[in-house]
Amino acid sequence: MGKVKLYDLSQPLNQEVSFWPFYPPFEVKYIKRKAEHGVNAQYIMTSNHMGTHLDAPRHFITGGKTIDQIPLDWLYGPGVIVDLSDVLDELDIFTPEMIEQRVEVREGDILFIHTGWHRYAQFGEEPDEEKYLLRHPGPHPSIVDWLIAKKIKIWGVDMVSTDHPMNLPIGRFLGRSGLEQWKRVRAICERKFGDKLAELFPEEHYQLTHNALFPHDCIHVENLGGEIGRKELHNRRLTLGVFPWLFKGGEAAFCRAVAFVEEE
Amino acid sequence: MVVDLARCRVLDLSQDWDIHTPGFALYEGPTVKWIKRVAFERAGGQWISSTLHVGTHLDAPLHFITGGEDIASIPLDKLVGWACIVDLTRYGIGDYDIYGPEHFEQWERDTGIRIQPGDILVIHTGYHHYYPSDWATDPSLRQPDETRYFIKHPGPTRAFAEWVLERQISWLAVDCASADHPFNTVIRKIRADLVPEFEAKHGKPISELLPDSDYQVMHFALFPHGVIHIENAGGEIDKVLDRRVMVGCFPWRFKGGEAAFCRFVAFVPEDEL
Repeated sequence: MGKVKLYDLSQPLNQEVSFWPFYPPFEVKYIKRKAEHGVNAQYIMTSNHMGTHLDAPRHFITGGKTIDQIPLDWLYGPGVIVDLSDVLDELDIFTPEMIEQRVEVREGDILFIHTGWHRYAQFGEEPDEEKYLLRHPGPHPSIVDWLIAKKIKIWGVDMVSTDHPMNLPIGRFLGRSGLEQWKRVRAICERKFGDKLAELFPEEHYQLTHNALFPHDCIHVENLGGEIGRKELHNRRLTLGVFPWLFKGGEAAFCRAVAFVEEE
Repeated sequence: MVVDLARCRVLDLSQDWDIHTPGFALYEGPTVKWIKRVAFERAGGQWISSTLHVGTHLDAPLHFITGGEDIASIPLDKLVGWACIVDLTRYGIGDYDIYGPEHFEQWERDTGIRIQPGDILVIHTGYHHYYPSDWATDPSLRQPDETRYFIKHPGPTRAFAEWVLERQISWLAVDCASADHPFNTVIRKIRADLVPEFEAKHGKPISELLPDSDYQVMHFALFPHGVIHIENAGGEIDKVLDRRVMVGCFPWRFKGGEAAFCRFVAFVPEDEL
């Protein structure tokens, strides 16, 4: 038994933070002020998919578990943060093999993936919203069967989505007949993956890691950040926690993600 | 903080949050609506709006202090630590009652547990049973009654606030609507009709029991010292009464927030459950 050090793996959230395409932004306003009301009080209006948040199965599954139905036993426990930041560039793909080359992932672990992309988020070291949202890396489709075989319930990424942009509106239709972002994303991927593009991102893999994993109650945290880039957290066993507020009926919720490290 | 993490189970000390969860007096409760559905948009999405003083939440100093610390500025090292869970029901404290340092010192003598400098203090009044969003209590003990919950819960006076500072408590949590006595808040005016009932219970005038100068003393006197609090704690709190355990308060990392909904949990070694 050693001393425990805490690391905050959450991104700060306020009205400046980018929001998922087609979803309303985070809004906040004061409704009471100290001088008039003797107190400062705010009012928020927001969708759930921004900042560090946990998706519940209900996000994609009619009748799926909601945030309040996810046991705390799933949300706290042993796990790993695998560091893939040195090998991932824009729109790259990572595989389960790449993860396992770096760290042993055990059955039932909480698995966080550090791609390095959080540095491009609003409050990251190098904010670049287009890079953060439109050109992040994503998993190879083999991650689905691998996560199920590993009996993983909770995984997470320091990116806006666990899906590759080519399996999201971003690479399929974002800006169609407008700014045409999807075309530019697709063009980069055509150069990168050549004639493998159709095989890597088949039509039916739209939002793959959501549609294929949520029925198995394998869910994920998006927009991890904070101290997730700290080298001492990478590729080793530690304890991880994901703490959404107890949103009854919620299809997702903002959460605090934490690493607990026992020091010798 | 020294604890064997691998042996710990997590108990939930939080209440549910949904459209039925009442906010504090003069604070609007939650709105939740679906704005995307799987059938049409191929994903379901909700939109919410709410004040922040609804359900289990953490107040930041900014709630009462211009330029005070916001939620995102409160470090995790402060939010996770050892807590004494003091069960005040063992002293027969109930409707409208006032608690003070003497109850906590008696608790230390009765349990043999010392409330140490830097500890978090969790105050169990038992009133979480009356909260409409209580979920963990045995259904036969659950008694939703929001009037009793908001208006009649016990609370402290200035003497307790001073004791909290003197004993160097890190922060507090209460399983009721406010860390202050209801009649030390805006409720004194909103439910002025119940002031006589309060005075009758104590046999003294309110001006003597809770002088105007002590209005919201648990907020005004303690927030400048960073001694903040969780309100509407509950959940499985009955499983950890009269113990010193590790707890964690996890608000979402709201930059600029004067408060935030939070998950409040206890980390309890499996063999001590």
